[in-house]
Amino acid sequence: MDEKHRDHLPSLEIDQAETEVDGFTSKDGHSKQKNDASSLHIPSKSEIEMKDLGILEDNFLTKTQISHIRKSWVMVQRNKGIGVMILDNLFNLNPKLMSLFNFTKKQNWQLSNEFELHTHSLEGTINKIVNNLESPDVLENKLRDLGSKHNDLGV
Amino acid sequence: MFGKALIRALEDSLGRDFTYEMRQAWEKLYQYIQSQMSIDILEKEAKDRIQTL
Repeated sequence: MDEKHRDHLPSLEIDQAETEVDGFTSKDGHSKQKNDASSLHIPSKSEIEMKDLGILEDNFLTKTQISHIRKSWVMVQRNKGIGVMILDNLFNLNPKLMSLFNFTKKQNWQLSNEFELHTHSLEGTINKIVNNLESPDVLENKLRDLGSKHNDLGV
Repeated sequence: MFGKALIRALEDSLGRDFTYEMRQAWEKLYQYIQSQMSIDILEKEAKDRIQTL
């Protein structure tokens, strides 16, 4: 793997995420005790902290899921060309989408610099997402920006 | 569509190493990505609708 690719690798925090209990991890490593006598649940300090991080929200990810995503993304980066594979799949699933990419109008566009740049930019975007899974604010800004750019293009 | 292309590529690249739990996590992440990317579009649509009232 060359330096350029290594720089893009997300940091690994897999070991920290193995003690998940009911969708969240107790910071001190102890399991959360269920209180059968009462349905009243007083959130612990670590729960409140994790809620602040967006991790416990219904539409987001548990720590274990974040570690699954990071682990698989690191593994994928070892095999080259995930960006190429994603775009290939996209064009196979819907060939009409090719017309949205100017480089596909060229002959042998798979070998063009534009195609390569687009696949690198796609991988960079996924890297940024994978590296910011605990930072909903950063993610939201990035994704909203991405959404408006793609909306402008009619994607 | 993009989510499908992404998950298929992960599956092809990792083969058996791509576990069911990994797939579920990526699917959930993609739902989130899609919802965030659509917020501005939905807001714009809502504003347009209000203006036509």
